[in-house]
Amino acid sequence: MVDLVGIIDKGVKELKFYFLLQVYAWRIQLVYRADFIMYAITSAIYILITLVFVDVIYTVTYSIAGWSYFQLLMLIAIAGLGLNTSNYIINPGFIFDALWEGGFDNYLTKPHNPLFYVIGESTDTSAIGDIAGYFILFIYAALNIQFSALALFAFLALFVLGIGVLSLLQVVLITVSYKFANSAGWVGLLIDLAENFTRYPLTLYGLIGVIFFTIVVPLGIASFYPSEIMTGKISLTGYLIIFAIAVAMTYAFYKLSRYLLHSYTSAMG
Amino acid sequence: MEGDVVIEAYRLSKRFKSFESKTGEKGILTSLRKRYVYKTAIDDVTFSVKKGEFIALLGKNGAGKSTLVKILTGILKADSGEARVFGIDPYRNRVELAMSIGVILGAHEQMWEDLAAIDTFKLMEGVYGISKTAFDERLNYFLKVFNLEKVYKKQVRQMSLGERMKCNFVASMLHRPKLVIMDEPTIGMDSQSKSSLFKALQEIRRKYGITFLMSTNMINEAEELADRIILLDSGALVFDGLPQELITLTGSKKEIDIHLTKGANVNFGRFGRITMHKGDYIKLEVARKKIKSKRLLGMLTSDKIIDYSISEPPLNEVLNKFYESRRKKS
Amino acid sequence: MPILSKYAAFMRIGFKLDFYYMYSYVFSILAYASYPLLMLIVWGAIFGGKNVIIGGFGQTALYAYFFVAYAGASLQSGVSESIAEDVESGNITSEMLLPISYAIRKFTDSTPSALANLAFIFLPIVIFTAIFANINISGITLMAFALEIFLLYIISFLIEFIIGVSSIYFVSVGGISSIVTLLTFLSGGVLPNTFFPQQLQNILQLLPFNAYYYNPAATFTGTLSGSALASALVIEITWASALFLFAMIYWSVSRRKVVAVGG
Repeated sequence: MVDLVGIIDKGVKELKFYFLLQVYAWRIQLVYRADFIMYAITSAIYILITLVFVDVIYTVTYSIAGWSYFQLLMLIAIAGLGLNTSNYIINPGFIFDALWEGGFDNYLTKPHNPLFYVIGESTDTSAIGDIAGYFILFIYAALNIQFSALALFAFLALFVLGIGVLSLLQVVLITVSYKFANSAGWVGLLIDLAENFTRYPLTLYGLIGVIFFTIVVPLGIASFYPSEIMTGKISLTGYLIIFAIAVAMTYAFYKLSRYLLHSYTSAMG
Repeated sequence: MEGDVVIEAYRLSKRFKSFESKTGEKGILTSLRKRYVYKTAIDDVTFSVKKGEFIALLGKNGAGKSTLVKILTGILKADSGEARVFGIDPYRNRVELAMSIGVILGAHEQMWEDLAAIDTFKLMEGVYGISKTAFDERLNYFLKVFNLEKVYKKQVRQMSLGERMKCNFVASMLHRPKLVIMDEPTIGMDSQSKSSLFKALQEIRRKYGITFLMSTNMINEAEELADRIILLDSGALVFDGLPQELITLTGSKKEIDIHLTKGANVNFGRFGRITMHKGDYIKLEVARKKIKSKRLLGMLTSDKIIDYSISEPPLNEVLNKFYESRRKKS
Repeated sequence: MPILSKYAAFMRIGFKLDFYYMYSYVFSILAYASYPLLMLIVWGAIFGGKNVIIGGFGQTALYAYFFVAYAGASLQSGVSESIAEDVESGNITSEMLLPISYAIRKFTDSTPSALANLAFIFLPIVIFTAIFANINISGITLMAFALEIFLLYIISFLIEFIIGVSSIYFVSVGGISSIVTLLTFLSGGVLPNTFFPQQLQNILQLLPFNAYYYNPAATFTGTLSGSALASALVIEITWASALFLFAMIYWSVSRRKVVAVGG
């Protein structure tokens, strides 16, 4: 018998706890207010530079791989939102350090799921500047594109799932680092590099590119495919296939990271 | 009595894989050519702890104390044997156990450095689901007992090590655990902070009847605080008994380095054996009991003495004497 | 366009290159070549096989620009993080007790990896680009290019040093650091400066950040030449000297603050 009430009750408790951890993450960030404001400003300017870049490109062409100016902006906005939300939720460096130096032990002695707890404490509040900026870009693009309410709903569903996949991917990469390497710097670097590529239509990279960014490093699920929904470029069948892949990947990554985490033996001595 | 047993450890063993990678070679697959070596951390350890006891887990670095602590707190799983804390398997029912135990890991800070200490305390209120009234009451008590009333609003980054460690204790006890487990909590602390910490622990123990388990590599700490000492050496449990017994067995002495004022003439001979006398410096070997002698202390603090320090016999020596005495018995 | 993030620090010399392991080396090369590769694909779609000049660059020249610009990124110094760490941990006081000047220590510490990157990342990519893009480069231009590479390292080191020393005053300098990174990307990292309106180009010319991407890469493709190149070099040398002076004074004032506060 599955204790549904028990599960829901526990879920609500953990959600409240996560919210508390968020409060603390922001408390810490606000200790360094000046720094935070500077990050926010640089994020904003960076997105403006992006806008300029796209403007320049579209003075010499009217479409890239069949995507118009506003459609490309929409893609860039969604990719930016996806990755930065995932970066907000999970900070690979923080978690890796906790594992590598044994600070993770402290999470294991508290009455909560340790992975959940450490992820909550790793919240990277500095990503909020990027999230806000890309959100504004999203609105700007959305105002110049036609889409239905159904499309918006389908988009949100896949997008949220995509963020989940991305976050779990980061957890997998962190635990892989822990088991096989001795630093996690390459994780952030890899995600950064891959993100550059997923800001453009995946069709530019041929079949290999599409497969790579859909299944191997599934950033596409949080950028390209949700954008295709908003720009009406995907069929219903296509959508369902991608959705199924996303669900499968979420499950696979979750299982994989749990398995890798079992090799945590704490710092010795 | 059954109901009184808090910790039950039965034939616990654990070993670790450690890597030996080849160095000094430039090669494509160097990183893949690693060799595994097994190191035994603890070997067939059995003991139990009753409610209200203060147990010291004594051993050199690498003796297996930390591993044992981690098994009892659910961080690690033993390879074989059984551990039960409050009747619970720590590894399988970690979350359930976490509500009844407080863990202080000397090597890992749990206080948020950039915030004031009180902020981390309040976080614990949420972590453990403590009611506001209980929280306020306990916090006031702990702040008083640990003498943190003047500093708990300071940013942790700006605190001294002693203050920080005390904060760690408070954070791990606000939920009123029935068992407090500590893994080398006094590392790096000066003797003054240590003694005020110990005083606080003893006072808390008196008031709440909490059971304590503390791992340490310093025999004087074990002697001062514990009802019982469990001595580990290379993963094996070699002694489980009263501090007095251990001291009698090892007959340890303490050594006092004394720096006399120029030309002072003081006779320490009747307190112990003078092992070195060079100019104004004397090394005096004294039986443990004699350290508390008022006469000796009076002489040490007189103005004929510039400075003195009492040193511990290293744990190695204690262990050697211990094995020697056991051999003599058999 | 490149994403500004905390991990951008790894694009600079702070990235630990361990040639001990082949995979790490291959990974580093790919890291520095990946953005140019992306530009290759995107601009390939834009040019669409047409033989036109966009922003002063033909198709091959634009590719060459990006490869050289990002190969240059491997030479940028990342010393601000290590200085900030020294300050935060308090190690800086013990470092300052050593008979060697702390500043010189930092410089000599980071130079070996810069040289390694120069030999194993920068030069291979540049040579590769020269061959595939059919770049003909004259002797004088080559000397100018070499000088720019040298100044790239010096200027980035000095700026990083100044940022690092600032951590004595502000506990966290990540914000300042990211603004600097932003400005460097603006000066030729995102697009060659020639794509920008003339007024913006003029402003960028007067700042030291052109040394990071635009100047070396545009010199290499021949876009920056003649008197424009000469004045760019003069501005760079002036900046290098000014930054050096400022860094020296800034450091000698700041080091007293470290000692005053105590370790």
